[in-house]
Amino acid sequence: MAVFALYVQSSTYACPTLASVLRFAKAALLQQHQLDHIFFYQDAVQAIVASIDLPADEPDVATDLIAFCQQHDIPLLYCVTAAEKRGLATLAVPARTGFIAAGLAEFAMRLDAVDQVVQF
Amino acid sequence: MLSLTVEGLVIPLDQHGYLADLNLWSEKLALEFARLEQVNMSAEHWEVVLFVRDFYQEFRTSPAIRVLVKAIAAKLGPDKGNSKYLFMLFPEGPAKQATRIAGLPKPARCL
Amino acid sequence: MKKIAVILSHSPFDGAISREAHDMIMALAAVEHQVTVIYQDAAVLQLLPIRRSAALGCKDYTPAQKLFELYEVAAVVADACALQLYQILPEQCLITVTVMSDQAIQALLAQQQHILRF
Repeated sequence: MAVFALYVQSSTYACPTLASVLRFAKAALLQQHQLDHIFFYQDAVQAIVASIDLPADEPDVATDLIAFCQQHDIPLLYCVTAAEKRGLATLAVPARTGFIAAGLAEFAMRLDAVDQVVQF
Repeated sequence: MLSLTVEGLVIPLDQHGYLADLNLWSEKLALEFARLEQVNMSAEHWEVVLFVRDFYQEFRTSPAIRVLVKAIAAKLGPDKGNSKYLFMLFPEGPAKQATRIAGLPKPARCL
Repeated sequence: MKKIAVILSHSPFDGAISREAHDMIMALAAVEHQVTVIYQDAAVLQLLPIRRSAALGCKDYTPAQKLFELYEVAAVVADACALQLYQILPEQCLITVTVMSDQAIQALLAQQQHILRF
């Protein structure tokens, strides 16, 4: 059994990134591995925006991912500086509920307890 | 837009209250920022403020606390390059306060 | 403490990728990981200063790489083929780099516990 961290940095809009993350997370838990956290950085921080407005016929994988992580108590973290620089989370408009503001320092420290980092 | 008036000059600030145009810095302006930060500038304070200015000139980035401690230790020795000494001078956060007084951008809070 | 390699492969003008990668390198090194930075492909251009950055509408963030030494980054490696392709000499680089062949880099990667790619 291994402890995994999922590191997400590629764009998440209209592409399979989040679906891949969720599929990997589910498969890892199914095989008795642990997920220490999922961390969003670079352009992937667009996934945390609270005001995303998708038409009903487009899959909303972020919602599924949030529900999955809450159910299994997996911290869903994002780099607050990357989000702020892109104007995606501010004091006035915070990130979508379920995403937790963190820093690179926290991500770096968490890697001590992680066996495998998988990048998306 | 936030601003600061020093000797009749209106100096624009960014949304965090830091100097908006790095070129407008002066020692008088530093004293005004220090007053706002409730820091009484001594020779020791100036040493750190000028150090972070030099740091920015060289690396083009505002130092966060960890690297500030390391950089000062490397240059001025361990007596000054430790967070206890720096917090004594700048109780609200050495990186945050010294960079503001030095007229630099606010350091990233994720590092 | 983990042995972590950070592979850089993008040009310095390719959005925020390189700049945020530098921040990641420093964050990893700051918490005492043993970090190896590897410049591949167009990323070797990051080793040169961005001239006329104001005209390009971006900040010259390349000097921050000089902080790697202060952060005690364990090794800074540049891919020999990439340096040759972009006609960059190690002595032109902003920081000291160890030039390595693809084969040597491959061996180096095999020793790492984590690898991140930017």
